[in-house]
Amino acid sequence: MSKQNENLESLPEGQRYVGPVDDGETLQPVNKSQLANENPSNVSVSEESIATPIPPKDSSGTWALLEAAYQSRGRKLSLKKTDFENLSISRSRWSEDVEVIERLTKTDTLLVLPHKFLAAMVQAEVVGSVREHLMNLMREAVIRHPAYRSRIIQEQLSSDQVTPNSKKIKESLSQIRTSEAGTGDEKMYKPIEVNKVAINFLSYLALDQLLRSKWTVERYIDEMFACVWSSKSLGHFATGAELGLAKDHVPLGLLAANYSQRMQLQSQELQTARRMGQHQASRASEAEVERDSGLVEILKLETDLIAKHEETSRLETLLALERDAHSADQLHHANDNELMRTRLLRQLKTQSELLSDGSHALGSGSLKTANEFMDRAKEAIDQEIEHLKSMGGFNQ
Amino acid sequence: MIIGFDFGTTNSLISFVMGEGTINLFDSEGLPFPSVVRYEGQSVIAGREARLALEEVGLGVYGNTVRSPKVLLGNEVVSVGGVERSPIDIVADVIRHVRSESEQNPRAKGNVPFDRAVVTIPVTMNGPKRAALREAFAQNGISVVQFVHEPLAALYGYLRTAPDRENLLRKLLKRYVLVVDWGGGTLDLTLCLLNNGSILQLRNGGSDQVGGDQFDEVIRHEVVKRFSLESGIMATDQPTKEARQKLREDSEKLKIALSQRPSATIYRGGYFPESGTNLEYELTRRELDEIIRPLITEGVRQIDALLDSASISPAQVSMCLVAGGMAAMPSIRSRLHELFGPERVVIPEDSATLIAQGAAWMAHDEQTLRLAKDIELEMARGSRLAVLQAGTLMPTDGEIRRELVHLYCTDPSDGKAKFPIVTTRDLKSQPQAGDPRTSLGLLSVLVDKTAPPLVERLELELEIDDNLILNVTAKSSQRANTDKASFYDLEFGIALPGIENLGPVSVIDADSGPFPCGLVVRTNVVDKNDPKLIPGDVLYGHNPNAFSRRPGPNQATEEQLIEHLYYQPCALCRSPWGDPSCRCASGG
Repeated sequence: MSKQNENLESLPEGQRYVGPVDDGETLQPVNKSQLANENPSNVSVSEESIATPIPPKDSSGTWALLEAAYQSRGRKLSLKKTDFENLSISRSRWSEDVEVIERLTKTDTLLVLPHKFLAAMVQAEVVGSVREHLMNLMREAVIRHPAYRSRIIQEQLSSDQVTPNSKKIKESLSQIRTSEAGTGDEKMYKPIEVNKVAINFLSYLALDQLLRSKWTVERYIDEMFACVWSSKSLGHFATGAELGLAKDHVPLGLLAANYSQRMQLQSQELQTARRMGQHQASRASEAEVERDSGLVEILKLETDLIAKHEETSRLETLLALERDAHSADQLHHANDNELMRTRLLRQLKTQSELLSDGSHALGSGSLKTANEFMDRAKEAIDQEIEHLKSMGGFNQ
Repeated sequence: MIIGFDFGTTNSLISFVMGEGTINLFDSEGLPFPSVVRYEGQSVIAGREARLALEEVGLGVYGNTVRSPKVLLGNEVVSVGGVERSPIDIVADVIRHVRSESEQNPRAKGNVPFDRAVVTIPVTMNGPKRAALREAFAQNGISVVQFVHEPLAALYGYLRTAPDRENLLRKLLKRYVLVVDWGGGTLDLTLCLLNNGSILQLRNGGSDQVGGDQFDEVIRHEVVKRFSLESGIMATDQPTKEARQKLREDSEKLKIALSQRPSATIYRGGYFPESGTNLEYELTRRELDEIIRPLITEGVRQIDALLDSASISPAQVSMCLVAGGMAAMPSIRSRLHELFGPERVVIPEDSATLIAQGAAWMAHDEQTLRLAKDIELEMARGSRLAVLQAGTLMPTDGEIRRELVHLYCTDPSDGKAKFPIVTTRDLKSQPQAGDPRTSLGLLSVLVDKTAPPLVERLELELEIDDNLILNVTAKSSQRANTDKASFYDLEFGIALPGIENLGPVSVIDADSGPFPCGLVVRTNVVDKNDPKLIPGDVLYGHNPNAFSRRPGPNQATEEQLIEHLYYQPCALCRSPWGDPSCRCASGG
């Protein structure tokens, strides 16, 4: 792992890191027995780690624990549950705790400890107020670390919705001046240090979010993959070789298990989605059939409606024509009646005058003329009678 | 709806179309309104009441009564009963009576608007009279949509309601039809040609001396004369006015009685008041025929003359349609049968009202008159320009149709441009140069005689107004002179009922007739600027180089060369062209 970290600077940013970065070069050899004797809080370190003696300064044991942790110089902390059970946490000593952590964090130039300390707490199954207190102290450690001058880191820590961006963090950190504890000589982070600080900060941030239940483990993995763990794609064989050479199988196993579980879950979701999709497609198909059927029905209804409109229009036209024809017929009937009435009137008047003249002729002794006039009147009346009969459809 | 208004010489009648038939708006006795008006002080009595009080027959003014007032149109004023009246106002009084009585008719109430009418007119009614008649109608709030000649209306009415119209029209296609409108006052004749969907008027004629009233008058006069001779009635024994009026009615009844029986008696008690003698005279049909023969003969002579003028024999007439009240008279029928053959004489049952009905159908069908023949301008060198073509739609109420023609003067040497307006004599689809023409008139305007040929511009403007009067105005641009003329004697056509297409008239078999003889005007206007149209003598005066016989486009034609030489004296002896004394070249 340290070999990989050494190559970090020369490789593309964010693609090579496989774990939090230590500053192994600054570690001093420490005897195991020495550590056991000098550490009243019984802080234990791994076999690779060499404990540094931490003088006990507080009754709660917190400072000692922190001192021991920072003395580990970034090596893997191996803390036990009992190391935490003996701690006495008090809110009243918070400021003193912060002072201690402020002092200690200046020794951790590359911000190695916070995420390691959180990991160790988890492994030691620390819960409750102790874990919360220590987590807050780790946050204070970050806040009071020189890296906190980075605006991006400030924003990340103060934001409710954390969205890590390793590139911006690195750019921001490259502008930060820092100094070794006690030396007072400030200097700029080297590029390789920028990578290390950034990765350590991101590792802390991701674990902190996870432990505060703001992220799920999946989100944790995804964010870590995006910002820290990403690496360029190797061939099948190279990938197998790299994985085969990995000393610690547990993180790989956890990671693989998580992805496997997620894939399984996604597969199930996919199947469910497919089923849902099929179901929806089936429903859509049914709906389409229903819609087509409805459209056909609507079309039929529209056709019927148009036909009915046309029929209505035709009937209205017919009705109007019939009405007009009826009106015209009525008028013509009335006119025919009037014609007949006036013709009869004229006929009667003419024959009356003829008979009157005939009567006058009779009175004057002109019997022949009187007879002729009567004949003419009778003929005319007979003709009129025949005419009237024929109008009624009678022959006689 | 537009009504048909037959403003007849004797009677007037309004008719309108309702449904598939016409309705005639008669008076209370079921008869048309007599076109008679009487003035008694401030009272105006029109129609039957005025007619019954009238003893005399004939048209015009009788005392305080005017019969057929439309014959007075065109006069400024007439004296009626010692009062000077405008003929337009007199006509308007009759129209007012007909309109108000018709409006009261129960058949018209609510069914008919009386504000627009197609009005029938006699074929002889000229433009100013038509304009005056329009004014008289306007006085009564009636807008004349269109005037139509009475015989044309009668023919349209008959064809429109014929039972088998399509067959009839097919039978009459490209055939002549004579319309005889023999009414109480006048005989009107129109020769028509049915061709390619249209009815075209060829010739119009008639007489106001053979109307039905003349028949009654002749019968009355003859009966009184014969009875007076037989009974020894003294000349001083004169009947009263009322008795004479009654006897005129008796004459009409006698005429009708003799159409059904061989003899009938005319009887009027106390006709001769001085002696107290009753008039009683038996007249046979044969005697009646003898009495009225001169009138019928005169009527038939009018028909012959009309056909002669069109160079058509009676055999070429495919149908003789008889309208008017006199159509019922057997003597007239038989004479027409003799002339045309019984199968070609058509006397419809409604012949007395056919004109009004035809006008109503034309109004209903929205028919518009069209010009029957081309109206042409005769131009220089014998060419003619059809300034108004046959088939041109005639304007209706308020419209004016205008045409403007730009022309040049080919020969201004006499200082006048001449515009002879002619029309083809016969109906032809494409009149040829040799076809005879009838001159409508001549217009002449002053032009600048010093101007070269084809320089001064001329204009000829033609307007036809809604009174169917053709007004022609000729103008010269340089001298700014104007001449105007109006022509009324135009002939019209109308689309056949139910047929939209009014195509060109096709060739007919009429004889062309001889060319007109005598002096002719040398027309000197043309419609294009072409030096070849200039007379040779005139061209020489303005462009002698055209006669140089050099090759080129602007040289005189052979015709122009001859024209030029004709006016040149002999180069040797100085004799004029054709002088027999000249032995040099041109003389005989």
